[in-house]
Amino acid sequence: MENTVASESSPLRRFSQWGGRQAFVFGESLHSLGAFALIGLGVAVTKFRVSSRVVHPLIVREIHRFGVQLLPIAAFLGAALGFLIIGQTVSLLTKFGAQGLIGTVMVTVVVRELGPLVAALLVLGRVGTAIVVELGTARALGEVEALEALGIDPVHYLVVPRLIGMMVAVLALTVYLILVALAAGYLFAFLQDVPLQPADYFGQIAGALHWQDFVLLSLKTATFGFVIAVVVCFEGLARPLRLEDVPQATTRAVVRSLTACLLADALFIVIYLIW
Amino acid sequence: MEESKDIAILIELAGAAIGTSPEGAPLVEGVDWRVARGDFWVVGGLHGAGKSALLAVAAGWLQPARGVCRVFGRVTEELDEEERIVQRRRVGVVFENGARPFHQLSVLENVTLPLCYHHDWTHEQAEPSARELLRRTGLESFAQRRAGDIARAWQQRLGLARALALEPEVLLLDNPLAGLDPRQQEWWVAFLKELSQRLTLVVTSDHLEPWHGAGRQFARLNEGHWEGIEGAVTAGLRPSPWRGE
Repeated sequence: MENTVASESSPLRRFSQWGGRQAFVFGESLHSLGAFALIGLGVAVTKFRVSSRVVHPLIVREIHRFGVQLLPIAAFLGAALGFLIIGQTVSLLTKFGAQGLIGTVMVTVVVRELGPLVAALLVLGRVGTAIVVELGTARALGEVEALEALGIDPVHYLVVPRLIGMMVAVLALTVYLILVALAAGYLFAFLQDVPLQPADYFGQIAGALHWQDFVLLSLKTATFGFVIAVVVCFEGLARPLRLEDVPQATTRAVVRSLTACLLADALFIVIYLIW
Repeated sequence: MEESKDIAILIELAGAAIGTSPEGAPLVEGVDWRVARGDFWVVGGLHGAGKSALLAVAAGWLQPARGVCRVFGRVTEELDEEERIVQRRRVGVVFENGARPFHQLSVLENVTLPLCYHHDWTHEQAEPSARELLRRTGLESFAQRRAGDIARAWQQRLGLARALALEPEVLLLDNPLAGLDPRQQEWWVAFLKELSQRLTLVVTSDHLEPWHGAGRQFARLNEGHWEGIEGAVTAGLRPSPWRGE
């Protein structure tokens, strides 16, 4: 009997119980998020032409809010990224006489990895959190029930515009951020007196790019946008909230979105390697 | 759903148990209630007696724990999603405590939204009907104000205008007089009395007295039971729902 009590309270047992609980919570969250994502996607497809005079202007508004309004900060981050990467790599590559690889480095680092990720994090930080607050407050104030009472599908009216807006915005912002980063990279190389003509630099970049890069970049950014939109809308809408729960839901949404984006990124790295 | 438009009984609850108390038991049991076209029901009950739950069941959002609820002749439990949406357009609801307006939208947009969504209209197409509703409810001067910025009493009227926008066949109002000053209460009773000439109404209320002369059928939720109040109109006086407290 004593042994049983001792083993029940042993640190290993407590740890395994905690681990089991966390795994269960993780599985449950994944299941709920998956179901919410499928519902959102299903409504977006089946009701795309329904109430288009209400929903389509909302999609345009969200693209403007998530994309166009973030252009200045995206340009700043793109320029900083370009300077940063060229600043770190150019002296190293010059040391080995491998300036010819600058374009390849830029494509690998900016186009395939950092560009999409930075754009996604920017959107998450600037508007993802705002969405959780908006939707969480609407839920807490009973506006979602009011929509349902009027026969308005809350997923159609509240989630679909944000879902499509976020996917388009992350894709567009990534392209913009990459272009600025590539230009800024050349500018920094020029300021550092690297003997590299613009035609050579952009020729290297063009040579390093393959058609798969364009396909995967589009898929990756759209996935990031989709994942962020699903997580933030889920946290704001899917559960009954009180006003005091909204900050907690926002924090949870940021952590979950970040985790989901990094997992998706890891998946795309595997696809790159296989392809 | 179309063929049921001519039926006389709009809402029917038979042997229904409604709501859930903190202990898990139904709040009200044995509700046998029929709302016929042209009725003006006033249902009294103490705070927590199950008035909101009763309206939620009557609107088809909640299912009774026991018994059956029929709305426009159809058992609500058997409706699919599409039928549910059609039904919701035919049953208007005004929530209590400020009526849950869309705080970020303007007062006008609150009323145009259901019209634009269901008729696929532009804002300009919906505006004349919405402005007419705002005029009738005394909200015309607030049209461009954010709904979240106006006083609660006006938000309550906005909820009424919004619910009327889709021209429902029956309007359910959850405790519309709660928290209003006597002048506002008078306006509501007079407005609903006039509205009841062409629309079926169900009102819940903490007090039955203000509805004297307006309501035509009365009932109360008393200690977990549904009690119809017979002859209330002809008697001229309504018993208080908590008489004997």
